[in-house]
Amino acid sequence: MNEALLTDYLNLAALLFCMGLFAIISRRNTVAVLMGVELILNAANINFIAFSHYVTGHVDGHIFAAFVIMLAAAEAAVGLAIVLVVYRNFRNINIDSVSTLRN
Amino acid sequence: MKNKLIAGLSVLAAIVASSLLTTGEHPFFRAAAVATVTGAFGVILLPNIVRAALCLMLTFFGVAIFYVMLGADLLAAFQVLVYIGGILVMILFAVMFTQRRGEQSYLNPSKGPLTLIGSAALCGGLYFILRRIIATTSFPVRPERPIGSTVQAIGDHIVTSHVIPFEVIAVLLLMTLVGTVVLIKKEINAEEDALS
Repeated sequence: MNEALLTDYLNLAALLFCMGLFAIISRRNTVAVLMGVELILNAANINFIAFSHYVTGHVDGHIFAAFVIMLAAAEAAVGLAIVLVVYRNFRNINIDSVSTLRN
Repeated sequence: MKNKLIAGLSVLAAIVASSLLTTGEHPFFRAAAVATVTGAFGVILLPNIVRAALCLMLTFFGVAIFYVMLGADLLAAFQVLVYIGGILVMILFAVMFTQRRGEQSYLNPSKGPLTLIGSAALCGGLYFILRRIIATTSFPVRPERPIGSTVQAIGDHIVTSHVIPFEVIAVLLLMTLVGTVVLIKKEINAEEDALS
């Protein structure tokens, strides 16, 4: 049984990145756009871990990925709080209809 | 009946498309990759936002399997604990707070067909450029890759050589906590004033 290669992981991360980009561009619901951001962050994490495993051999990539996960948690908390505030002010969370910060 | 048929066919199409798009010989890698990409297809295509969030869970589990295969045991645990246990539950809460029964905001409509085709072409083109770059670049891959526990090494590095980013992250998390409470609390006060 042959091992999975570095390029397999890189191709998969590229695919996940492009799908997250598509979600950010094409979705209209703000929560779905945040899900696209999560997909992109996961793609970056896969690259960090793959390079750490196949190329450097240090745990530096693991530490960067851990920081990215913590930042993703902070970003999701603030983003979803903003979504809730926007919903209370505008009564919907369509990303096109929300273009002002105060009403 | 017809809707269920269409749903089943689209799930089948997503699985077939993800198995065509993912490369790799290793059967375990292939299975995890198909699960991950099928979940990502669900995230970007499903009109129902709750189902999209559940598909995101499939993607997160697939990525956790990749971490295990790459010898990142602590990161796999983080992935399951933080992403699936924290972020996904928060997303589901946000979805359920912002949906009203029978309204459009629940259904998450996509934009017009021209925007969809344009963005699909943009992202597909970017994907093929990236694949091309990955295929033509030669990476200095190490011959031997021992897999062991990484927990002690990560802990040592976080409190010695990476201590400043660690402290910055700590301050950032505190700011996030306070900022989130301030954002939500102002609204609650405003609602109480409106009620009284």
